[in-house]
Amino acid sequence: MSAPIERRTFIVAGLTAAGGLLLTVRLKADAGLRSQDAAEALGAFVRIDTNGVVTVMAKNPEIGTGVKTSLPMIIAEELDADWGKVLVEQAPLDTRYGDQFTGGSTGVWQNWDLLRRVGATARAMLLSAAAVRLRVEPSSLRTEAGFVIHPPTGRRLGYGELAADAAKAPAPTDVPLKRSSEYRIVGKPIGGVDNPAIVRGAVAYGLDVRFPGMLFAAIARPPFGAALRRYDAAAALAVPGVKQVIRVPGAANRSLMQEGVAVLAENTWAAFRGREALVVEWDETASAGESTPAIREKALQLLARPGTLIRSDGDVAAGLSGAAKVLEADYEVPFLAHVPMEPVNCTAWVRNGACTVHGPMQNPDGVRSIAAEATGIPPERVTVLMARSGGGFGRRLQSEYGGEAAFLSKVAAAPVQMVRSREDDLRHDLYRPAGIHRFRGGLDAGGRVVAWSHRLANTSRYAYAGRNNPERSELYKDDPPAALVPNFRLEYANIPTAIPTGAWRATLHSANAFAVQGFLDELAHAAGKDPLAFRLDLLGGDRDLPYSDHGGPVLSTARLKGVLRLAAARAGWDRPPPSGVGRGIAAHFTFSGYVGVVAEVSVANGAIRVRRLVAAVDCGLVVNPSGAEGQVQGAMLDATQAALYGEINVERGRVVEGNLGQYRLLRMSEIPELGVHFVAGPHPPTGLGEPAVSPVAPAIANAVFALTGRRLRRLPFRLGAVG
Amino acid sequence: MPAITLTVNGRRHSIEVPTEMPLLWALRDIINLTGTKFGCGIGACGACTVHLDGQPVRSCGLPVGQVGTRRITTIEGLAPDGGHALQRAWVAEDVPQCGYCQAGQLMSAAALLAKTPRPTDADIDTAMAGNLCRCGTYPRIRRAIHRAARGE
Ligand code: FES
Ligand code: FES
Repeated sequence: MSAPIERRTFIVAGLTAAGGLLLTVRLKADAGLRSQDAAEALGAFVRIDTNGVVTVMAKNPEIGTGVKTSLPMIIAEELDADWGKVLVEQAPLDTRYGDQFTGGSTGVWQNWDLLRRVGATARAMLLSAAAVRLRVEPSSLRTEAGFVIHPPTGRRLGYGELAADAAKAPAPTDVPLKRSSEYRIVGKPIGGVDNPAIVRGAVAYGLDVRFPGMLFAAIARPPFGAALRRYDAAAALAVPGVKQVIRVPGAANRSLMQEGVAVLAENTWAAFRGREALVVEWDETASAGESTPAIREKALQLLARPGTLIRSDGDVAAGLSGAAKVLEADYEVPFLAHVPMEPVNCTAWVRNGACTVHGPMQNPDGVRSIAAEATGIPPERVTVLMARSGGGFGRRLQSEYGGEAAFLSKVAAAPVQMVRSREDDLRHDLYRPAGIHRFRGGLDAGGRVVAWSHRLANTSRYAYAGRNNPERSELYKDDPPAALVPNFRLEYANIPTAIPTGAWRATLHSANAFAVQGFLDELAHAAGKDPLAFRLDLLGGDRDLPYSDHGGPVLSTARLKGVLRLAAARAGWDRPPPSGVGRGIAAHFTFSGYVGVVAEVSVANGAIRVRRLVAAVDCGLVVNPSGAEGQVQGAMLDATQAALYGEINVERGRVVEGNLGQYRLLRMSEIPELGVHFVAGPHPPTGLGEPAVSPVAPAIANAVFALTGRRLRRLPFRLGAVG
Repeated sequence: MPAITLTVNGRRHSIEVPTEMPLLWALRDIINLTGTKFGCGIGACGACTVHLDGQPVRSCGLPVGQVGTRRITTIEGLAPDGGHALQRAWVAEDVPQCGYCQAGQLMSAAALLAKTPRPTDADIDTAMAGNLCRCGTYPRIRRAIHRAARGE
């Protein structure tokens, strides 16, 4: 990615109000679209005050993936700043920062080159200023932790002393970047910059945003697909503290804003009580048939006939008929909720033809356009401020909640905080799509995979959003074993439904890897081979395979084998597990990251106990080992709770599970021992919010098979209902 | 509505709200102490944990009318300078991911250490069973509690 960023950006310097150095980046617009004159100035990335304090703007929203710490670390590294004197501030949404988005594990790798250049440019300017001041050659100077040093004389100048002079010179264009062996900040475990405030309860999350005279809003929402027939506001308005009842119209595209009735009150509790008292009748003609059993039935119907062809190599029919052994299996995945710890919410204030939206978000640009659409206010008059988010997991990539808050503020003529109760959050989520994978696999006499047919029928999230090519969000054409099996076929069928679907952490990789890595394990056992050796054989020689989806353009078989081997080595794959313990393995590539996981499980009283998970991770250079380890631990636990418990059921257009009592998350006492091992390699860094999710569920299922001989083909796992 | 007097972090607040209003919302929306978090509203997540006379309680299920004269401590009052051994341990172990659950985790952990200064893993599992962390920071929470207990 370095080339395109290199072409599009250049860095300029200016003065801070107090006379310090202000480094700004200019985005050179794509030549084909706009003239160079239209180049936009980026907001300040780095500010060096005359007192030596370095302020770095965190450009992307922080949802718990650590980018508010790791991205500024990259700038500070090249700047040679004293990390103890670096202040990090959350930037607002501003086109001048370029892409501001937390999703797809893109934060680190997309910004790596840009942020290094920002830091290195500032450092070069400070060096030049010092050379003039000391009347020496710039090459005789070096920098260290906030100082320029002249080793022959031992003279030292603080960055603060140099900032004003540095700001007067133009920013150089070609600055040298450090070698990784010179890093002093990148590669060191550094705690989250907000931690000291978080432990005092002093960080404002979305729900903590306060505007004067703000009203709190709770929205009654229809069953999936239903429409509003009538409502009576009287009982709601009689609840003390309730101020207004407002009808929320649906947008033509249902994924942008859904119909509902909002109760606005002086405080959250009154809004919730008012919403309970509200009398609403829905026309349920279209929603009555929406249910998970109906989805399942539809999937089975669709699987009986060919779907949209996604990929075809060789001749699968011939491969299967010529195979020595053929296996068939269906793998089923349920709808899955995001359940961010901070329920979905947003605060907006519309006044004087402008709108301010302040909330937890992953996609601030999406919030801006939806708020603009919902209020009729032009996007350039919508200010978007990013609160720290109590989790995201893909939920806050969909920005419809920002539109709800903005719309309500406009109609109520007051600042409004739209709050979803946990029940609203769980019952009106955009779920990970549900569906069934059907596999047929053929082995030759030597136990090699000669044919692989994979058909998926599910509820596409692109279809829900009204986008074309529903298969694009669901089945990824280059996922292994694509290109590893001579006769290979992928087909897809969408199940139309009003049940909302969206991106869940690792998108559909988290579900697909369960199916693919599970079926691969079935083939390994059918071939009478060790599951690790079978996978290594399948991957074959070291080479780069084309990979067109998340994290491409290539997938390295060497790196995928590397994480399989490392996870196996660290888990003691060569030695038999303790008695009563089963061991399974799986690996997956996504978002440029390679992760292999070994799971160890036991079974007691019909329940699976995940005892240990060992991950090997190749995400290139690790920017912040502390944050990175946390992300991998968290991803593994997230995948474990989804595999053991995660399931959303729908009856008559309504979600059955209502709160955290029914939708279980892991507790402290249930967590396995976790091992996290990074592959030290020469590759530039890639993101870690997601990659460690996908291999966990299949590793657990494969371990249960090794222990019990029972193959788990449905998420979440139920030993009583083994497919 | 008669005024209700609450003592929060050593300060007295007189508020006029229905007696059934859960303490959580009185703290957050009336007294404007937003460090105590809303996660579920039904006592299932622990995000709203505060102390009443040192005992951990879920403020989302406790009507303000039932608080009486008991002293309320929220995360903001655990140690106003952030200097509680647990707060220091949380920073040292880099516990938070999103951080949203951590106020409740800290309040539960503080109540545990007040009663059991050197807790075992089993003590920790029991005391922390009602506090969910969606981000999966449990391994570090455990380490941080042990660190604080060692007095580091
Ligand atoms: S908000 Fe009180 S326990 Fe969840
Ligand atoms: S740190 Fe995010 S929920 Fe615990």
